Amino acid sequence: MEPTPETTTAAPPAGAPTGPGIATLTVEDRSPVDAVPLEQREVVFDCRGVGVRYNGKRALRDVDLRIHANAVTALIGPSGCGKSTFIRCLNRMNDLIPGASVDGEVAYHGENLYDPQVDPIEVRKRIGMVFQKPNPFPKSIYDNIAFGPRVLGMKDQLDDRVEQALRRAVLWDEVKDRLKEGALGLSGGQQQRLCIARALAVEPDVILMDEPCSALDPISTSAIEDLMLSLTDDYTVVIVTHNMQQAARVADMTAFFSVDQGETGARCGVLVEVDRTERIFTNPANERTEAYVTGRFG
Amino acid sequence: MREVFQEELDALSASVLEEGRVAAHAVSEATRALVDWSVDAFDATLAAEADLKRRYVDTEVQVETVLARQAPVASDLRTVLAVLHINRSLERAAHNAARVAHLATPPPRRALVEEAVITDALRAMGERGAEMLRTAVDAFVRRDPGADRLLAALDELVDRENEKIAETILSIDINDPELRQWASRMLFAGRWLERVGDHAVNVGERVTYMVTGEAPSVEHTG
Repeated sequence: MEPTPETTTAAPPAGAPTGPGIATLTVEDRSPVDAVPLEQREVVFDCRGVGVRYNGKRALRDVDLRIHANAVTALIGPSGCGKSTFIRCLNRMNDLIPGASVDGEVAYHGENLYDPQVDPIEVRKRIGMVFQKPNPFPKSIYDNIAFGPRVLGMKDQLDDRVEQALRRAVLWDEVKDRLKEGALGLSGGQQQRLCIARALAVEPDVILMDEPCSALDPISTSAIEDLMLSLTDDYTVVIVTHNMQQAARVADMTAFFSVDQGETGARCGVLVEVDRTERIFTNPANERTEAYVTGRFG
Repeated sequence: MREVFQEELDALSASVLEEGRVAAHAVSEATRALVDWSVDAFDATLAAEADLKRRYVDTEVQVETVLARQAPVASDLRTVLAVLHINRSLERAAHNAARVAHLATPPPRRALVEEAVITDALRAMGERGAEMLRTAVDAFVRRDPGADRLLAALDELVDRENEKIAETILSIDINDPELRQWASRMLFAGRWLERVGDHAVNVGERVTYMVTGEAPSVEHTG
């Protein structure tokens, strides 16, 4: 089975030019996590009036949301509220869905992500994604991690890149003696961390996670959650989760999405409230958020 | 949705309401024991304190169970946390009432004006303290976020009476051993009744937190 673009961090062919319109960031350029208050950290995504239609039918509308650097932002809400649709706007994954169209503006480090000049492949390199079910390639552990750097031409010190990615994903100690073994032999939790390591290997700026623990047992979930927290030292993390306690445990900011029903009966996702996580779970400003997090709705 | 959880929250509220009634009764009876030297009132105070201690432990177990099993958030979490604090404040108020009752002793009957001033001030403090506890718990039931200000104002009156007691005691002839002993006991009684007012203010602040999410001030902690 060959990996599809959706199952990878969507690396471009080797030697492909980097997309214009996106400032080049390196790990060294990023600010270390320090005592800078969350709201004062760099805005990685500034979304204004973002909406999505599938074949003309509106699925999400009017999302205004800022996502700050070196933090975990959780997107929560009932099924069909558009949170997965929204997270896919952040690395142009909706481009891969026939009939999908995005309106509004998604500024990434101040630059319009949907500018025609921007190369979506480059976007997905900078903004990696991890999915609900672990999706390692049917290759060795080593080759899973080395795949992205190889096709991107990042071939220098490949062994070091693989090791660093696995270390950052807190998987190195478990696999260092069997790097040539098949990735599919790993446990579900290990496979998911492998997918995170695979995303990290191409030196992204942002990691998007769409329900990354929904297929995992509690122990593996705990490992992934710990990993998310450690990743914020170097990366910006956005997760979609159905598990509110998970959002409460790991997220610095939480955005609550819900569903509005129009006069015609059409349902459309909306962003109801975004705030610091502790605020959302102790004293949300919006009654709909309160009703959802207390379990009285949805 | 979450009917069992709602029933558990309702049970917690009912516990607080009943504890408030018992605590106010303890303070009223303690005041009667103190200024009227009533043995019945003394017994009633200790019975109320023992009753409240049992209720305190029961409520704490209820809170623990709700936290462990229901993982409350938002207004539910604030309600449970408020109950946890209010539970403690009401238990302390009843404990202070018992301390007051234990200090009951007739004045040495020197027919001093000061004796009447002290006794009247203690009676006023006790009645005010019981009223404040009822007001605070009523605010909890009605989810009234403004009661903390009323309670703070009432607490000022309690504090003034306590200051009056201290000033009066300082003004009397301290060389009279019998009078000195009585005055010392009344000084402590005033102190414990003053703390009842503080606990009522704490309850009011927790109600405000429960309703609005605004953190209580540190002024009246304890």
